[in-house]
Amino acid sequence: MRIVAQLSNSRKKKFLILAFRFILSLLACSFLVIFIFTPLLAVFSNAFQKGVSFYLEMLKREETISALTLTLGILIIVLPLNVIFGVACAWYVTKYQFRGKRFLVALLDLPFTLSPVVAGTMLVLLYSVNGVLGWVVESLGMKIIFAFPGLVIATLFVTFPFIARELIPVMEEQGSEMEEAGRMLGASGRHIFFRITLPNIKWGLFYGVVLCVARCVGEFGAVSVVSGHIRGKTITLPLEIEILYNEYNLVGAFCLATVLCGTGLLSLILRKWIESSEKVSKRRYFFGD
Amino acid sequence: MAVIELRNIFKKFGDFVALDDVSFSVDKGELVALLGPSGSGKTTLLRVIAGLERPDSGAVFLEGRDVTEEDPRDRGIGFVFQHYALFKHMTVFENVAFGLRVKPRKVRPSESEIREKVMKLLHLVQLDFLADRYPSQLSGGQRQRVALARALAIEPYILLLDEPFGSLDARVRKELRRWLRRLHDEIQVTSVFVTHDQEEALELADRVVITNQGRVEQIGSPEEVYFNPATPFVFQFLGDVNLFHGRELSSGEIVFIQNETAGIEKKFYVRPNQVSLSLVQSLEHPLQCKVNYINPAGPMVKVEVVDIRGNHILALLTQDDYNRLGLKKNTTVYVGIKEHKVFE
Ligand SMILES: Nc1ncnc2c1ncn2[C@@H]1O[C@H](COP(=O)(O)OP(=O)(O)OP(=O)(O)O)[C@@H](O)[C@H]1O
Ligand SMILES: [Mg+2]
Repeated sequence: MRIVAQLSNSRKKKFLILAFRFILSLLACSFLVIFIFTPLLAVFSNAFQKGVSFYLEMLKREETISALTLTLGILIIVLPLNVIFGVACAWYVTKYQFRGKRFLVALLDLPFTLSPVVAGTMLVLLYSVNGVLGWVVESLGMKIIFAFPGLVIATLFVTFPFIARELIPVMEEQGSEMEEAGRMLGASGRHIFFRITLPNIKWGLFYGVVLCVARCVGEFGAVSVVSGHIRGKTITLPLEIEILYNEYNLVGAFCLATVLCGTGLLSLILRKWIESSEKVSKRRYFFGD
Repeated sequence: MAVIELRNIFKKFGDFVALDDVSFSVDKGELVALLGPSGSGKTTLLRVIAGLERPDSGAVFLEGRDVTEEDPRDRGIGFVFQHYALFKHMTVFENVAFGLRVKPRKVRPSESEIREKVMKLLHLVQLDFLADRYPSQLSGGQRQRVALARALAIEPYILLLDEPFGSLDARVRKELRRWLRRLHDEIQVTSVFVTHDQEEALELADRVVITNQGRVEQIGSPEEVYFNPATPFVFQFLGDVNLFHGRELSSGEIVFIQNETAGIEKKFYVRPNQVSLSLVQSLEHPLQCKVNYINPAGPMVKVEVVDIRGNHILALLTQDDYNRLGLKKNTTVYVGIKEHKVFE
């Protein structure tokens, strides 16, 4: 009797687990469909509403080109700085013990917790001609707010934690034993970094870079405040989209939006590609000379 | 001349004293064991020798040269880490080759020399067939040997091993232990290994350094430390022990009578194999006890008895003695002491 009871009990349990799993996957799937697939689909279908020629036309516009080059220009400056800062910061936080470490790590979250608009306003207060540091800027004879440097600084501010944030847990988990082993084997600091540390954090670094690129290209709030919307000079891609949108050129706005979506999809594809080529190179190594 | 010499090493972590005035030296070709309980500072001491940890005061001499301020990469020491610390993104081959590849260009061997040397080392540790595997694809014992081969690749004149067999099962441990002894005899490199297993230290080492709470308790050959322990700690750490509180009379007699006031009170340390049991009371077997527990499995029979005051005494009998006595639980026996040790 008891055994029978137990049996039906375990059957019941199995059913419950299955039902639970079903509900979970249903939730996940509907979330994906509602918040990711449908909007993405909407962006692309709207962009091609007036046909491919209109789409290409939009992309070839002078304003689009200038916005695109400006955005890329910002990216080219911000990304290397962020990579250097992120790696150095993660290295420092994880390999050394020092006072105020927690504070420093908490500080890294500031750009996440602060609204980008606030960040932008803060920069204006600091660097505009009447701002706190305005005299410094003026004496240097350059313009920061409503100019290219302001856009770079604003983007830098909102994106600087991405890479460090990705790397810190990875490096924390790895500890410093491998580096110490390298040192005992006579490796120099450069060798240790490039042959031991970097290969072990490369995926963390890559994800950090992907996040950083996406945010750099897509940043709207902070950049919008410091840009001043000077046509042909301080209009980045997201700002150009906003302008088109405000001019009721919805299809045009969507055309440019595909470019932004494209960078996201591209980084995903890039990741897959690197991962698979990684495997191939390993395999090649197995049977190599 | 001593290859390794430590002079009055002190090391603190915050307020915690990890090494407290440690001095000892290791001669050329010796295999020395650092033996001590967990947290006694063995790893810290090894790291001080390696240069991975800098002492707060004191000096490290290698072959007579003061290296206290020297970078670990210039010391030419092979180090095998407690958890191996293999480069997990490299194959076994590349792990072993690493020390050769990072040599300055002038002294770096050619690719074919590297290949030859690495394969020779892998052959030495009996792993040449695994050269293309990654560390994650190896068993614990295999990783251990890769770590050893990697450390040997730079031809160190000193080899430091931190609990080389720590995370392996008893059987593999024993095998590797003998293998390491043979390897050491073969390549004759001055070695220090850390362990908290007294059996391992006594079996493997030429000399044993026993540490406790950051201090060195005793240094000596396995026989010396085992038969002439310098402190109660060493005695207790090197094996099971029974503690008897008694009095030594001026006549030299020893009494374990509760209300006795003559003579000097002392603690008598007795190893279980120095306890003898008898079924009849006599001068040699004065103390009445009851058998509490018997474990006959193994080369010796463990018998635990309890005296009338409730003290537990452990005795180790040969199988013959055990069979002759025919002990059972609750049998009344009389305990005698063959040999004891007193610390003044
Ligand atoms: N980096 C550190 N910071 C603070 N305390 C430390 C550090 N390294 C070691 N200690 C402390 O120093 C003491 C000695 O540590 P050590 O690692 O040398 O012990 P051990 O003898 O190797 O122990 P085990 O057998 O468990 O490996 C321990 O109490 C440990 O907590
Ligand atoms: Mg240790």
